[in-house]
Amino acid sequence: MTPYGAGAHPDVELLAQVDDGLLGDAAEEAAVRAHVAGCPACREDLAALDRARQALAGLAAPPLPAAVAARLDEALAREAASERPGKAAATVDDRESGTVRTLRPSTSRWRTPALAAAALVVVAAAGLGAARIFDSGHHSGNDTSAARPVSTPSPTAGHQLAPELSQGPGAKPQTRAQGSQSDGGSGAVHQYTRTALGQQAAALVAGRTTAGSGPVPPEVSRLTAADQLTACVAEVTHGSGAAPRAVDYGTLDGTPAAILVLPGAGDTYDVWAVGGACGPGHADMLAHAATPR
Amino acid sequence: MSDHVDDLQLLRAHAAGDPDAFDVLVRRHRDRLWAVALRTLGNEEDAADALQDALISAYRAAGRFRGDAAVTTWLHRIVVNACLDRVRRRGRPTVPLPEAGQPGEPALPRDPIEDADTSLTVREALAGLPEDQRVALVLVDVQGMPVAEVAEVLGVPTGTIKSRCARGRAKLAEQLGYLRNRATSHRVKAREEGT
Repeated sequence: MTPYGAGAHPDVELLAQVDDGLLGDAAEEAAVRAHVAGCPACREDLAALDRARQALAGLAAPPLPAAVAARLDEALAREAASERPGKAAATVDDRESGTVRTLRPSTSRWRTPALAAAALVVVAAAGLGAARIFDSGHHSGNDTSAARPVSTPSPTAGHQLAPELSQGPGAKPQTRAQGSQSDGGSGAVHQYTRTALGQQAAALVAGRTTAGSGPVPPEVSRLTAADQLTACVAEVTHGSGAAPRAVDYGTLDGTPAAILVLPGAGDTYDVWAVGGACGPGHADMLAHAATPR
Repeated sequence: MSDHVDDLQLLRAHAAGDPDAFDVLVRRHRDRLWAVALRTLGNEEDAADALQDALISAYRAAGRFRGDAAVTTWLHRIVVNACLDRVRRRGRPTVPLPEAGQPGEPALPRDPIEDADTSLTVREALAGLPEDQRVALVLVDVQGMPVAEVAEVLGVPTGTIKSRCARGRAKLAEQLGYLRNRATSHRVKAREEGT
């Protein structure tokens, strides 16, 4: 640290340290204080530092958003389940091909019907941005509003999963409607487009679109069953055991589709649009996009 | 599992296999941990990711907690580390800030109307600080944590925390245009870190 030259204006950082009583050098501190006592400019600087401190102290801490709280609960429940393999059945019974697929215990973060169903339980979101994102699909595609965070603070903005892991494995699969009281599935069909798929998926993950809040086309409704969805995801990911960050149902360029958002390589999400036949041996892939996290 | 059980008992119970203990512990502290992550990272999505990473780490590491710090200190350390990991992985500052103004001018234009609600600009200015200063200020000034505890959280001497805070406040005051009186930008100089 540069020694303070008596009489000179101390720089602001030095003032800040003296102000905090943390200079640790009594003589230097006394010299600075002596200068400050007779220097209105330095006293103003001190006031400015105090104002900065107060500004920081006044940064109101927003409470943990409910959607984030739910997501944390879910992550910890998943972690707990992975510690207790006896309780978390790690198989998916696939009647069509007659095989039983075992999801790899060490990597699967999503291995039970109950947990799979949890991915479908959707936050009761404010619905903010839902119209916006799908509007943008109708327009030229140049509209990037979908990619921007909504500026209005929303208690649920940010994350989409609000699972309640109250049931054990083997409980009946929950349906997508649970938890989405605010928009109840009665709105417009979620229309995805190939050109905007990545962007629309990003809005889904960010909670700007409420996953599962639109009507489910009958062609893909079988994928709302947790075991069917689990098998579909396993097929799409080649059994990596990756858990979807969001799942939604609607149409892709008019074709009934389920939209799966999965962790991708690096800082990306892999977005898959699949048809209603998605399952073991046949992903029924309609489109794929990658989008930055 | 109720409120009179202290944090350490909860953590030990979790490590011993109690299925509810960790949840109780997390619920007790997660609002504060969230605030730290949010203010450090500047946006909800990154903060949620970091907090989730941190809680999973803590869940797994509970058995290795030696008890030489308070549980809350340990939790804060894990959260801060998760945030810094995320900052480094992200590889870019949270919010880019304009360069400081010319000497004698405030760094940011002062608008009397904006003064009524400066929280956005304070957040922006905070986000523009170097991460070590930002973390120190978030813990000390925003969260009101004692300097000694912050030093323990970050594993550096208290003098280092104080100097990071002093530098951070000076820069913040400049960025926010609080230092109006004299040419200031040349007065906030890069210094060698104390202690």
